[in-house]
Order: sequence, then C-alpha cells, then structure tokens
Amino acid sequence: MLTGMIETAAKASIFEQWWENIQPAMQTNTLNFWQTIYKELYLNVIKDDRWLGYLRGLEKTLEVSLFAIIVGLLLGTILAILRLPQVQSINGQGKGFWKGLGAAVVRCLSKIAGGYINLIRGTPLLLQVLLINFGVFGTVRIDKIIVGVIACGLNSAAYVAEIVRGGIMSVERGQTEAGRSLGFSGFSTMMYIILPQAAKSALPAMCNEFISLIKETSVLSYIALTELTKAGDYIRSRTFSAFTPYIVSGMLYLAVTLTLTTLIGKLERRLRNSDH
Amino acid sequence: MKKMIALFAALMLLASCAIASAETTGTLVWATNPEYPPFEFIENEKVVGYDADLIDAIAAKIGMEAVPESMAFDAIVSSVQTNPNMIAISGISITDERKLTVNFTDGYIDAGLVVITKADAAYSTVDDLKGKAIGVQLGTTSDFKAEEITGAENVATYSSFINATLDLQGNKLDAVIVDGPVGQAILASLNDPTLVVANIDLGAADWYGIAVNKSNPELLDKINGALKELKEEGFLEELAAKYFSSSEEAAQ
Repeated sequence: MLTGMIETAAKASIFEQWWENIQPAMQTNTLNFWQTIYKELYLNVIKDDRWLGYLRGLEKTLEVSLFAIIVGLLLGTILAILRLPQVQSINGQGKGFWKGLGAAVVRCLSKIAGGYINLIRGTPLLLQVLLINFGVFGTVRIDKIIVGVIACGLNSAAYVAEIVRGGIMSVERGQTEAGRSLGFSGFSTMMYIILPQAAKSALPAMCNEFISLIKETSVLSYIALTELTKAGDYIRSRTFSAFTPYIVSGMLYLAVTLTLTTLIGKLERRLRNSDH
Repeated sequence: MKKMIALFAALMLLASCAIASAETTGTLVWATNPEYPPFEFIENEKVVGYDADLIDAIAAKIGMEAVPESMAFDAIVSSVQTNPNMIAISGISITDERKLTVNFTDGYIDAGLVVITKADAAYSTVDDLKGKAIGVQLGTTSDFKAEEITGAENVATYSSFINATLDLQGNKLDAVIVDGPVGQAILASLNDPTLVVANIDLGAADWYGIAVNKSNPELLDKINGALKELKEEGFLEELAAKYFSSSEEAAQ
C-alpha cells in the first residue's frame, strides 16, 4: 500500500520533471517533435488528472450503450416477429369474434411496426435525440443518461429488427414444419427452434450494429451528456489543443469496439463448433 | 511520364500563384460561432451582429475584406492558434489562460455575466447556486465561472447556450450563466414569463477582445490601431445603440 503510494508519487514527479525540462524550449517556441508530443500529452492527459475525465466519459458511453443495446434487442426482436410474413398474413384459425379481433390487432401492430422502422431508419439519430430531449421530455426533469438510453435504444431497435428478421428468414421453412409436427406450439417453435438458429446467422450483422451504436452515442454530447466525445471536447476547451483530446477519445472508442469484436468473434467460433 | 511531371509542376505553380494572390488581395478571415445574438447570428444566410459590424469597420480601416468562417465556439481559439492569417471575433472574453495560446487586441466591450433562472426560484446570492445544475456554453467564461460556483460535476456544457436555455425552460437545469447582452436578447426573444435574469452579481469584468495568431503581431497592431480610431469616432456607441438600445430591439 505504502510502496504503491510512493511509486505513484514518484511517477507523478517524473511527469512533472519532464514538463519542467521542456519549459525553456516552450518559452522560445523551439520544441522538437517528441517534446511537442509530450507537451500535448501532458496538457491533455496528465495535468490536473485530466485522464480521469476521459474515463468518466467512457463510463457514461458504456452505460448508455449497454442499456441501449438491451432496449434495442428486446424491442427489435418484437418488431422483427411482427414483421414476419406469416404474422402479417395472420387471419386467425377458427371462427369467432375474438379470434377475428385478435388477428386484426396483430395485423394492425404489424403495420405500425413497419411504419416505425421506416420512420426511425429514415431520420437522423441526432434529430431523434433532440426531439426526445426537447420534445418528449420537454418539461420533465430527467437524467440525461435515461434520455440517451431511450433515444439510442429506440433507434437501434429499428436496425436490430431488420437484422433479426433477416436471421429468422434465413432459417429454412422445414424447421418450422418440423417443430410444429413434433407438437410445439407456434410460439414455442419460434422461441426454441427458430430464434436460436436465427441468432447465429444474424450475429455478424448484430456485431456491426452494436459497434455503430457505441460510436453513435457521441451525438448525445448535443444534449450536454458528458460521454466520451464530449469529455474530449471539454478538455479541448480547457487546453485549446487542436485535436489531441480527440485522438485520446478515439483510442478509447477503438479499445471498446475491438474488445467487442474479439468477444463476438469468439462466440461465433463457439457456435460454429456445434454445426458439426 | 515526363509530361505528367511537367503538368503536375505547372499545376503546382498555378496553385501557388492562386494562394499568393489570395493573400495580396487581403481577405481577413474571422472565425466565429454565429449562435450568439446580438453579437453574431445568422440572418438571410449571412453572419450579422455587433461583432460582424465591428470587424467590417476594422477591415475597411486596414484595407482588407472581412470574410466570416463559422464554427463551434470551443474550436475558435485553437483555429486561430493553428492558422497565422486567421483572427477570431465571437464574443471572446480576454482571459489569462487564452492569452497563453493567442494574442488579444484591446478589449472592445465589457459584457459581464448574468444568471438566468426560473422566475419562482428566487436565488439572491452566489452561494444559493452552490450544488445547483447550471447550464453553460462549453469553453466560455460562463463555463469557467459556473465550474467555480457549483463544481464541474454539476455543470452541463452545451455547444450552444440556446440549448442550455431551452433545458432550463424544460426544468432540466436550475440556472444558466451567459454574457449579459446575450442573456437579455434570448429572454426578449423567448418572451417566457417564467424565466428571469436573477439579481445576482457575479462580480466579474468580462472584456471581449479579438484573437489574433501569436506569430502575426503586425496584424494585431493594425487591428488595435483601427479599433482605437473607431473608439475615438464613437463607432462603438453607435453599435451599442444599434444592438442593445433596448432588449426588445435586440430580439428583432
């Protein structure tokens, strides 16, 4: 514990020491290449514990992304199922008023799902974020993270819906028929037979969508949520560096997306093993 | 291949001529964030306002043509820092921290900061604002002041103070800090009786200056000379009368 503290203090003083060392060159504006890099690094990362600012931003980005992915997956799957041809053309087996009504409601929901997907995919995320913040939550005091989760989640759902629908449609019709003839209900066939297979073929496209979502949370800086991009902006407004904070933010985004890609790649290989 | 090289060389020559001629015709590119009425805002696709009129008058004095370049406020100082021929006039307060990066002309107006709150909030001292959620425009003197008052974790930074004011209107903030004339103008144009300028003196002089690249002291001297002449001619009073004679007028 104590040695750790001493080590940190020693490290800190090394950074300060280097900073002092380049002061003369800074005064005369004669910094060499490496000194310039250190100056930028010191001002934008080390000084006043600014690196903590990036980490706090990263935390918020991850928080929003994680919950938005969950919202997007759940809502997206429901939308996808509603958009399936067999659901769209449902006409209620058997007769009777209630069955007829049920089928009409499902058909109506299916139309709404289609409209929703077109609306969300056809308008910019930034616009949706601003609308939700200043319109939907116009006079509500609400945490900006929740606004972000809702906006990004609703947006992602539209894309996820199409990915899941593609996945479901890639599963052969015979699988449904097999499930039904084994006595599974329509719902159980979907849950236990179709969706697991669909998930596997949709995985690469889904990974794409998650990565986009993580990066797109940067538009939340418009509603004053200090996520990773805004954290860089904030430090830039204090140090007046032209671009160094963006490089730091960019590397953190890259670290997150590369980790995600690796993990999903592993999952993909695992799932492929069960093919044999 | 030789022809290609010759062609390329000819193109380079042409390009350098073009660049050289652009410099000699004397355009004065000024960086600005035109979301700050009455100092700079967009009207009929043109940047207009107090600062725009001022820089046009200065450019006329030193025989150049002023051309605005719009950008986010927090990008302005670093743009001037990286471009020797660019200046910036955008309601930029002269601060010691900014002086490390760019040179400033003499101040041309003392804007002062104001606090906008809900009418029913009744804050009367700076201490009342401690721990409250305060909205500001990122990288402005309001931003630095708010951080000093309520702590960085309670400051919400926007790319435009207008969005901060809208979030105050929507109950998401307790207060907004902004430059005086700008605060008056936004209140006049929103015309919302639930928002008021609180009677709190933040006690900060806030002189606006024109930012000039550090490697261009000749330009700084020229602008300072022109600014001095304009001050003596009473041009600044004219501008003040034009843009803030009354808040209603500023809003129009």
